Amino acid sequence: MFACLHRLPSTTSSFENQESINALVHLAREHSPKVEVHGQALVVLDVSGLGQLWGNPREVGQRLRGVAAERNLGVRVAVAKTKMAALLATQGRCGLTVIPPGEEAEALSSLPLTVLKQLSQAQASGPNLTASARRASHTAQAVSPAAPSSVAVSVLMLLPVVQRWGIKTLGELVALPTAELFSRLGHGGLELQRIARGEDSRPFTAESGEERFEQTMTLEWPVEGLEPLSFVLARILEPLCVHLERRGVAVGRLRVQLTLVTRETHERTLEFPASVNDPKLLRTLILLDLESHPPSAGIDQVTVMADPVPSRTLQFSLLERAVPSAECLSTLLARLTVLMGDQRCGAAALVDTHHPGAFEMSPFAPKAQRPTHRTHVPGATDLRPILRRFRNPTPARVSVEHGHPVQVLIPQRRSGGQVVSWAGPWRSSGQWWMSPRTSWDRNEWDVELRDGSVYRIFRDRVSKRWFVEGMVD
Amino acid sequence: MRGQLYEIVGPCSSGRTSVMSALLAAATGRGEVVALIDTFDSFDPPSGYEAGIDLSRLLWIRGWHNVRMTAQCIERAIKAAGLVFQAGRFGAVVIDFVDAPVAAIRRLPFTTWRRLARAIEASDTVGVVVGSTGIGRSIRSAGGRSIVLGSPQRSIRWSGHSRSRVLQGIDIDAHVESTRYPSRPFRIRVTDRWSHSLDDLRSPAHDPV
Repeated sequence: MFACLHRLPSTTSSFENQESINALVHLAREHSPKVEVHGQALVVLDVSGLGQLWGNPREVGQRLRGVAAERNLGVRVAVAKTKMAALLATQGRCGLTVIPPGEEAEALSSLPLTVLKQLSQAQASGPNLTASARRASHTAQAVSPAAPSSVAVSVLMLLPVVQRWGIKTLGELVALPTAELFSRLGHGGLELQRIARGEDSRPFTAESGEERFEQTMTLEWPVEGLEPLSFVLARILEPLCVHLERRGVAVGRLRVQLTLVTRETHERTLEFPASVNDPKLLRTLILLDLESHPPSAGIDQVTVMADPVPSRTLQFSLLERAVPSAECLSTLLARLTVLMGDQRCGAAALVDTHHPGAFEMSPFAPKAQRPTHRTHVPGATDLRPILRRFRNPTPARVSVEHGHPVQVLIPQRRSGGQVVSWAGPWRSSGQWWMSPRTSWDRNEWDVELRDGSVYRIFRDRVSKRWFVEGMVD
Repeated sequence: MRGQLYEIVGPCSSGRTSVMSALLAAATGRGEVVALIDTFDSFDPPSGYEAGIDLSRLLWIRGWHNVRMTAQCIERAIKAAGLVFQAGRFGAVVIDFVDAPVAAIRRLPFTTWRRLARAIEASDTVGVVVGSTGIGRSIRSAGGRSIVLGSPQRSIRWSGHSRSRVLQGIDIDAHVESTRYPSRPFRIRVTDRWSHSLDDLRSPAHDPV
C-alpha cells in the first residue's frame, strides 16, 4: 500500500514554503523508510506493514493527516494499492481518500482528465530540498525532477486529442476500447489508459534512508593515554572503513567524540584534503591530533563519525612529476603540526597589500604538474638578494649624523658596527585609516656595516624608535 | 646529485639565502614539490616570490625565533627534516640554520647528520643545510658538497648617488668543496634586477630622521 501526501498551495513566503517542503519529507520519513519525492508538494511513501502499528489503511491515512495538522501542514492524503492511484486521488479529492485494493479504476473514474495535467505540473515543479531534507530523502532518483512514476510528456501531449473526442473523465478514457485506442494513438494511448486506471508503469524506486557511518564503543574500564586508545580506535575504524568501502565512499571529515569519566565530551573534528579510507592512516591522524589536544580525563566511550565523500579515483601519468600522495601529506602535516604547532606548516600565500612582509598561511596541497620546458626559470640562473626578515622587528640603537645613520647596534643579536655605505631613506606608510596596531609609517634604510653585512633598518615615525627589519643575504 | 646532503655556508650577507632561493625556484619551476624548514622563522615570502619560487609548491615549516630556546628550535628542525625525508617525493628539502649559533650546531651529535643522510640516500630528494661559516664539514653526506660563499673579497654594489642610491647587488667569491674533487673557485653575482623599478616607486623622505 502507498500513501500520497500532497501539500496544499499556500500564500506564504518562498522561505516558509521551502520549510514546509522539508517538513513534508521529514513527516514521510518518520512514518516510512521508503519515500519517493515527486515534486515540491508531492511525496509518496510505502505504508505496507504499518497496519500492525496503526490499524487499517484509513487509520494510517488519518494518522498522517493528524500529524500534518499538528505541524500546520495542510495536506491531502490518499492511500491506495498503487502509487499512481494515490497520486491521482490527491489531485482530484480533498481530505483523506482511501481506495480499496482492486477498485482503483472505479475510484478514479469520476475524476476529470485535467488531473493528469495537474499531476504532471506538480511533478515537473521538482523538489528543491535543503541539505537536511535531501539527506532525509537520500536518493538521487527520488529527488530528481523526472521521478520514476512521472507522467511522460509524450503521453500528456495526447490529452488534447482525447479531449477533442469528448472524453472528460478518467472513467470515460478507461472505457475506450483498447485496440481502437492503440490503432489511433499507439503506445502512448495505452499508457494514458493505464494511468487512468491507476496502474503503475514503473516500480517504486525509493531507497533506504540516510546511512550513518558511525561506530561507538563503550569501554568496561576507562582508558587513559593514547597507547591503549589506539587499540580501541583500531577496533572501531576497521569495521567503519569496511562499511564505507562497501558503499563506495571514503572519509572526507571525521568526528571523534570521547565521553570522559567526568561526563564531559571531548570532541575533535579532522578534515582531510583528500578522501581517506585507510583505517591505519585514520588511526594515526586521530592519535596525532589527540596528542596535541589531549582529553582532560579518562575515556569511557569512543564514538567515531565519518562524513562520507565519493572515493578518489586516481589516474597516474608518466608525464607528470610525482608529488607526495594526499594520504602521505595528511600524515606528514599532522606530524609536523604536532611538532611545530598550529599554523606553522603550510604554503605561504601573498596578500594584496603594501604592508612589509605581509603573507598568509594556506593549506599545503600541491597538484601534480607536467614538467615545464621553459629554457629560463626565473631565479634559477639569476641570483637576487633576499631579505631575511626578523618576524618581530628587532630594536636597534642607531647613531645619526648629517641625516644618515653612521652606526647601528643590535643588542639582541649582539651585532652591529659602523655604517660604511647606505641607501635611503625611503618613506613607507599605510593603513593609517585603520587601528594603530595595523598601520605603519616609517623611513627605511639599507645599510652596509663594516663587517660586510647588509641590514634593512627603519625608523618608526610614530614611536620615533629604530628597528632592524631584516638582513639582506 | 639527488639523494645527497649538501651544505651552503657563508658569513652574513654572503648570498646564502639567495642561492637557497634560486635552488627552490629552479625546483618548483620544474614542477617539483620542495620543503623549507625555517628553523627561526626568517623566510620572507614576498622576497621568495620575487626570486621565482612557486609558493604553492613550497612546504614552509616555520620554527620559532626564541633566543632562549635555540637548542629546542634546532632539535625540532632536525626532527621535522627527518619527517619530510621519510615522507619522500620532495625534490629538495632545505634546512635553514643561518641564524643558529655555530656552537649549537656543532654540539649536535655526528650521528644526526648521518641519520639524515641515510634517510635521503637512494631517494630523489636533495637535502641542503644552509648555515654560517664554521658549522663544520661533517654535515654533508659522502657524495654531497659544500658551497662556501663569501670570502673577505665580497663586495656590496650600490648604484646611484645621494638620495637616489639603491642597493644593486653583491659580488661573492665562492668555491665548492667535496671529498672527491678538488676545490673549484667561482664568482657569484647577486643582482637585484628589480631594484631600479621598485626603488623608483619608493618616495624619498623629506625629513629623513
